[in-house]
Amino acid sequence: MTAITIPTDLWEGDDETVITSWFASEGASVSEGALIAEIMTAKTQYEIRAPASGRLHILHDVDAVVAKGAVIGEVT
Amino acid sequence: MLDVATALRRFASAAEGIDAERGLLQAARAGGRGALIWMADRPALVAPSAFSRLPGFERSSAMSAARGWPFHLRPTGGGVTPQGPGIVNLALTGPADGLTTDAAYRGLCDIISAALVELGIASEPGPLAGSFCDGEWNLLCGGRKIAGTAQRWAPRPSPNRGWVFLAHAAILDEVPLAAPLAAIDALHCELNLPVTSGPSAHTTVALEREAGRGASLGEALAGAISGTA
Repeated sequence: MTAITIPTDLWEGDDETVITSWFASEGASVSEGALIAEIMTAKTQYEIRAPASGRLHILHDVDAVVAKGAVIGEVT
Repeated sequence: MLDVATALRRFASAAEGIDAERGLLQAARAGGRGALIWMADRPALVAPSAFSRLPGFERSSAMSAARGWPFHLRPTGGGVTPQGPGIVNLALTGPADGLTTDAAYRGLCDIISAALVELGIASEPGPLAGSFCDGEWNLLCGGRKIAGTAQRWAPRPSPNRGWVFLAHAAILDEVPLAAPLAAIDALHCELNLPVTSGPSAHTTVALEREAGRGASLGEALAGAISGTA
């Protein structure tokens, strides 16, 4: 299992971020490096790419507000 | 190497300008740095792609187009922004190399502020409730919004590490404010979003510039970029 984690060093302060899109569905097969989600903080859209190839398990849905370092999904 | 398009580039539509910015970001993923100054020949409204999930988006988008303001989705964050004649865009791209988003905003605003100084305009970054696409990194002139900013960040492809960024600003150069703000407010009403404070919260380069300063905003931006390259 490989965690899909919100980066911790991209913006200053402890602002939370919102998941604005999942581009792959729960249980879908994803390839390492594929664009699978987007998050937004302070008018900046960050791409979240698959950290490994496998099956996607989504832990937080679109519109969820999460902290830096949060695990929002897994690839198994 | 910095690939700077120093002349103002004209695109028939905002969608074409957005595509050019996507191309710059893609080049940044391969290690390039770039800058683009551009303007769309036709009016439009642009907003992040997540807007397509809002209830009533398709109908509101069609109604906006019928009013003369077609709606395009963009890769950066934020809210609805006007595009078209008199609105100059600046896009900067490159490897982040340890930058934070805030540092990239600061760098973008510094370049625009330096360009505005060349035109005799003092500006400072800050939020402004009631302005379109409000955020911490608007550029304000006398308490009115003159530019809005937004970004997109993407991880570099393996085996590279780190991120690349696209930092974008839409600058109100020489545009009558009432029409684009009315177009945004009409769309916001249909999407159940708050309306703006209208023209009183905004200003333009044309309204603020000192008489006798001959350079265009595009020329001033190109000079400011060259000064930092």
